Amino acid sequence: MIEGFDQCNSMLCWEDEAEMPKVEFQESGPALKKAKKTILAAENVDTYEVAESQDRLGDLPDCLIHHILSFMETKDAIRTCVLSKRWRYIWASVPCLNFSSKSFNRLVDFKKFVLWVLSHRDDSQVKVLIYYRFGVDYATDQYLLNKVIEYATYHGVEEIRINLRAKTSGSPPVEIPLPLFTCQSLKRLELKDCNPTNVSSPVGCKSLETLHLEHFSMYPAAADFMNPFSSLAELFGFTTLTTLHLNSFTLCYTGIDCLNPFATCVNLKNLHLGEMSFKSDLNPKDFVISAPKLKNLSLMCNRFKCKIVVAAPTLTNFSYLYSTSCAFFEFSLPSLDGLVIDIHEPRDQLEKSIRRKREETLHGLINMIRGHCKSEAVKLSFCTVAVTCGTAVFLKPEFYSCSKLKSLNFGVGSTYKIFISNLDNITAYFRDCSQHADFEILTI
Amino acid sequence: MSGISDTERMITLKTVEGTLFDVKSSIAKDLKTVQAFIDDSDDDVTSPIPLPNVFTRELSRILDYLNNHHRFRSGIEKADEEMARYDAEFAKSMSHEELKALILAANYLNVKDLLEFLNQTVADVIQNKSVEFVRNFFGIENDYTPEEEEKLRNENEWAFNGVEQD
Repeated sequence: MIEGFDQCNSMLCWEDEAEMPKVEFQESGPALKKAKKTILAAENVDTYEVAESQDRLGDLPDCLIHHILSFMETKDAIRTCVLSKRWRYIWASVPCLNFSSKSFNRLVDFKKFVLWVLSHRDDSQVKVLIYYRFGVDYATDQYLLNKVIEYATYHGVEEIRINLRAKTSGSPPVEIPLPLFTCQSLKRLELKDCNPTNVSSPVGCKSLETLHLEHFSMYPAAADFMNPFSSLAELFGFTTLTTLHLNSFTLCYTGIDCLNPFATCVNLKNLHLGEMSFKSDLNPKDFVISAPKLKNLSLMCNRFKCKIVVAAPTLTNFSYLYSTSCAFFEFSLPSLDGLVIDIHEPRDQLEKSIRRKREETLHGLINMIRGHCKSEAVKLSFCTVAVTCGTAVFLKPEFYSCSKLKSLNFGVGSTYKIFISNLDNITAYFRDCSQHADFEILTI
Repeated sequence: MSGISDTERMITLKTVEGTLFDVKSSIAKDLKTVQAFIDDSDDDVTSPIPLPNVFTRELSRILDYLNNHHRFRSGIEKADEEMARYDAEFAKSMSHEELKALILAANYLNVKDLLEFLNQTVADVIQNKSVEFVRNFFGIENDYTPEEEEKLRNENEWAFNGVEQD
């Protein structure tokens, strides 16, 4: 889900005064001030009760109807045209277009429908466009996609979600229409299951705030292998992004150095990388994450076989879910103050190889704590990884280094009771590490 | 402004029936209409704020929802599952009439998250239901002649596939 998604803001109602039926809300301030002066005498209660039943059975105002209809596919919203004459054209100004080919028996019907809607809708803004075309063949309908994007961008679209999954071959090649890149109102974009053929473009997005790419890959022929992210940066405007989600992404890399793809994301606050992998296992030496304003980082089930170095100076939340063996992470942060680390692992993880990987994860953590003698407060939250925490700790006695850690907060998940018994070992270890007499361990 | 911090302040709201509700100012912030009134007032708001369009039953439900959501969000562990269960129960506990009344109240009070949830709930309820059902739900009177309605349905035939019959 894209954060900050706001389909049909109820604030619309406040601007829509001309259409408001008389029984509805008024401008808040004056209404309440006026009401303050009115005395609700007991004898008025009866009148209110009559009015009450009328209000409750009356029609909802247009803006609320729009809000309700915006949760449905456009096909379903259009059905409201037969409810009554008042409802005949309400669907035509719902600020959301939601097309899903799954609701049609044949793709050719879907196409006819979409084109019909585009020509029968009124001129009001389209805030959100959802276009899911599940194809049965390898190619997607480029013409239809172009038409839809053209329409939406012309009508001030703010959020676009596209999914072009093809039944047989996954992600069809597609050319992202140019109006998408030149659209000034577009703030949130989600592209799933497609392979864009335009790895570079004369213009890139200039005001995107949220980008979500899933099952997405860039055609290798034109990609810059040294930095597989440079195409993305160019097309989608890395510098304006505040949130970036990349899932099931395959990258090509042929360099030998470290890869630091997010350094240009100067406004990035939230980053999520899931199920990423490098083609043919050509990994960089290190994968560095160093966006300057990054606050929240989550790594889930990635298939890198290289070290992930987290060097984001303002990081406050780090969430990590299992990755392949041979991958581990390391922190290179100026301070750990206020950092919350949340590590989960799937439940059934008792095989040897996986246990070893856990130790590596653990070592990454311990390295981090060891290296940050200046921190005063760290919060670590463990799930099953804490089971091995106790044993791994005793394998490496050289971790007994100076540390100014004053307090260490353990958030222990209530669903995993097994490691409570090891908690004493863990806390004893950290207590030994600290030079402070008043070292405090808080368990939640 | 007095020296008391925001979270301790209580605001009193009065419904149409005259019932008074004491609400923490942190909860009142979610009632944007009320918050705007407070912000606009020159003095401290000490007397009960009357809500001429809101009935006791609705305000009580709204405050219940907000109190619970605040509780879920401030917990140490993410209470997403618990919150989802609460939301489902909350939606189920109301008749269609009550749901509509609550939407109007939430809209008047400008309670954004609740309104989003309620409208989504309505969308789920009316999805794929027959035209009569939806008319009943919204209290709409059909002013089409049978011929007009027939014509409209035929023009938009594709929209009526896979829907509950009347």
